[in-house]
Amino acid sequence: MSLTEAKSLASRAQTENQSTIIQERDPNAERSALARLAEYADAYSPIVGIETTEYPECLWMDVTGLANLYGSEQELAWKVVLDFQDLGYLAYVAIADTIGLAWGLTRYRVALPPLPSPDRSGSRQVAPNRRGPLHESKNADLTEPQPASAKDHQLAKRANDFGRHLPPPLIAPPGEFEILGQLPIEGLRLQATDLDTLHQLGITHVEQLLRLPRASLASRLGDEVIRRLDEASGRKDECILAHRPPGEFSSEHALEFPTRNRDALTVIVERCIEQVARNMLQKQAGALRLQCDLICSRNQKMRLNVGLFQPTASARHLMQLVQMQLERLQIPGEVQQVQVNVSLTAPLVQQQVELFHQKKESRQALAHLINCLSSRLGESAVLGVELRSEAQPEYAFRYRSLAGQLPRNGELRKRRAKSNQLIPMQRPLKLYQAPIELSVVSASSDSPPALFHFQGQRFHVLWYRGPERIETGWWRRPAVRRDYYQLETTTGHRFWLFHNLRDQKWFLHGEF
Amino acid sequence: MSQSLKAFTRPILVDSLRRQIRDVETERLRPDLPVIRTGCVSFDRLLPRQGFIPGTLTEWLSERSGGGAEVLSLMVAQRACQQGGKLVVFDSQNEFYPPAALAWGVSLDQLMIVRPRTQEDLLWSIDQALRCSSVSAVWGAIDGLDERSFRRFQLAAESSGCLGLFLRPASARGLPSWSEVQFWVRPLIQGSHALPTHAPSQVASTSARSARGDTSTSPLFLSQAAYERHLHVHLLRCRGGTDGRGVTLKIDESAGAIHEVITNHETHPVSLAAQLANPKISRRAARA
Repeated sequence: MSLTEAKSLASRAQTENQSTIIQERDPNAERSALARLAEYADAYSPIVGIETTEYPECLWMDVTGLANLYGSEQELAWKVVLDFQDLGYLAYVAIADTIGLAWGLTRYRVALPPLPSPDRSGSRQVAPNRRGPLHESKNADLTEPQPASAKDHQLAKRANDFGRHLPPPLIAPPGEFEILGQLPIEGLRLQATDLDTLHQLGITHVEQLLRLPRASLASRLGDEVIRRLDEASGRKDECILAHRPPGEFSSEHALEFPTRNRDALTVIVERCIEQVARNMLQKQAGALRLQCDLICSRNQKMRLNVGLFQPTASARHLMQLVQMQLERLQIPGEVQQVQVNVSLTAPLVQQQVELFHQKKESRQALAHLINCLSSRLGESAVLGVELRSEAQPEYAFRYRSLAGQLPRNGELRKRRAKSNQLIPMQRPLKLYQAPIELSVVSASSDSPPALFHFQGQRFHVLWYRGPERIETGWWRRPAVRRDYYQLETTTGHRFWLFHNLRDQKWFLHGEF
Repeated sequence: MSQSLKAFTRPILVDSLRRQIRDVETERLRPDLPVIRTGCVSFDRLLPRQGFIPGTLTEWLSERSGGGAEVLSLMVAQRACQQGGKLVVFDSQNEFYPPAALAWGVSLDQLMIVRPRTQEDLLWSIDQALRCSSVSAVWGAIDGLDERSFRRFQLAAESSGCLGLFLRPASARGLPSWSEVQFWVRPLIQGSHALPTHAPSQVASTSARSARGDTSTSPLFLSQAAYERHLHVHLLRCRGGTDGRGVTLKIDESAGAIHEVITNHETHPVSLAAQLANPKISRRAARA
């Protein structure tokens, strides 16, 4: 509301001897408060998200399969209402099959059909709306919003016993989307321009919208209306963007004047990192994984991920790694907030400096190299290798990222050392990720081809070694049945071919 | 000075001058680090210090992959890491197969794979790896390499003592290079000694028929005993060494060792006792 409107309300309240406070609206403070509530709501659901709008007012929770933990969905919803009341919030709670429908129900009361037995399957979303007026739909029977169970009445009574006149939560029966039609079009989370257009057309309720031909809706009103309608009716999936609470070591800086100046941003990021590094040092912890988020207007977030090989609390080194990414980053808009969060830590290891340090394998130098490479190329580009007990060549090993991982314990090291003893038979140094089908000329069926074409070149096979039959992977489907041959051509080159026994085709899989 | 004396002193003088030039050229290299030997004396002898010098770059040129340059260079890399340190493999094409490296003696604990997506990232990351003192060898294929990056690699390797082994295409031959050594590796088909007893004629006839385009013959099955591979390694350039020399090598796959291929007349070397007993054989061997 505007300041004038607020002042008129305040003066009216003063005449009624009520104390009033006028405070300027602060969207950042609202967002922070909502984030705190989302962290609090982790107690109810494993996935809690914040409404993804410019000024969010609503929390999402995925309560699929959680009703049994609380007795029923009503009890869960009442628990949320009562707990939020304890925190000083008036929460409007609705549970429905889709996020869109739950959002609409928190704002607009409709007459809900009776609930079936508590045995349900399928996804269920809850939307506790922490503030805002509860509007009433024209079609709603306000005297009896929803036939409730006896236990529900007990909970409501309990709330009233404590002197609380709380809004009862609304629970839409599973698979029941007809109630969507009763909602006013404002319950579809549409933009103001779309709402204006619909009102001009005389469309006030969703059921009117649903009666219109779908094809003409998109062409006349745009894709946004169709999308919201589909999301609310369950035709289109909408996922909850989970809110993750900041870690123990985090720092953020909100810019009073948003900027895209790289130097200014570098200084701010540096300050945040220094603060995080100080906190880590106090607790003798080092960062193994760090995220630096640059939040632009319209909630656009750019994340810089830094994974480390060895835990470090050195602000300078961390800044160096972030800087490597920051200088290559295309900043799309003005940054209004910078957040630095350390999501994975390990105890700092203190090493005594050796006076005559001649050892080749200096772990510090190696850690520095891996950190730098991972920071610029990405964690998935700097890899270690582990062998696996798999006959199929593609699965005989596994890459693991060297950065951003917790240090391995002795048992794992031992196991890896043991796996190193498993030396495979002849394998090529170069293995194609996808085997290449060859056109071959074969003289007999029980030997490899005498000639094949590859990369525009014709290769005559001089001798071969094999076959080595590999028949495995039925659980991956389809099962692999291959006869592998090592060939040497008349040019002296060596190839690794296989005969696919399933389709009788020849493939080149590697080069020695 | 008489003619005979001149003839006697000239080779010594040339040798002495050659040694001095070599010392000047390799002066900047780190003498504190031990030379990396392959275990094959004739191969090591191609190089000025009888082995690969840490802190230098070596190029392995070949017509195409699968010719043995990869295996040979990886074996050198494995030997460079025997005293510890990481082997950093640059695999831009995502085609390196680690279990094969393990079979060639590379420890997986020492192996680190780097997969840059762009040429710019590849050059930068090689430079970083060569600069790191805890890396013993850097191994990878590079196609386009400008002079400036090459020089940077050389300085980086010198500063850390890391051995850089780069697989290069044939087109890199004759281009300016900052590597210490440049090899040309050519695969050879196995000689008769590597095949079963009945094989030589069969190999020859198969080879001849293949060359004519006659493809009606099945390739020869090779016995389990012949786990070896033949290559000719030609020294294209070498600082402080003699260019143009070459050696034919045999890679023993079962033992993971490199040997020189002994020509036919040396297949039955005469023992020292036999030479002493029969001076004629000794003279014949010396002439050969």
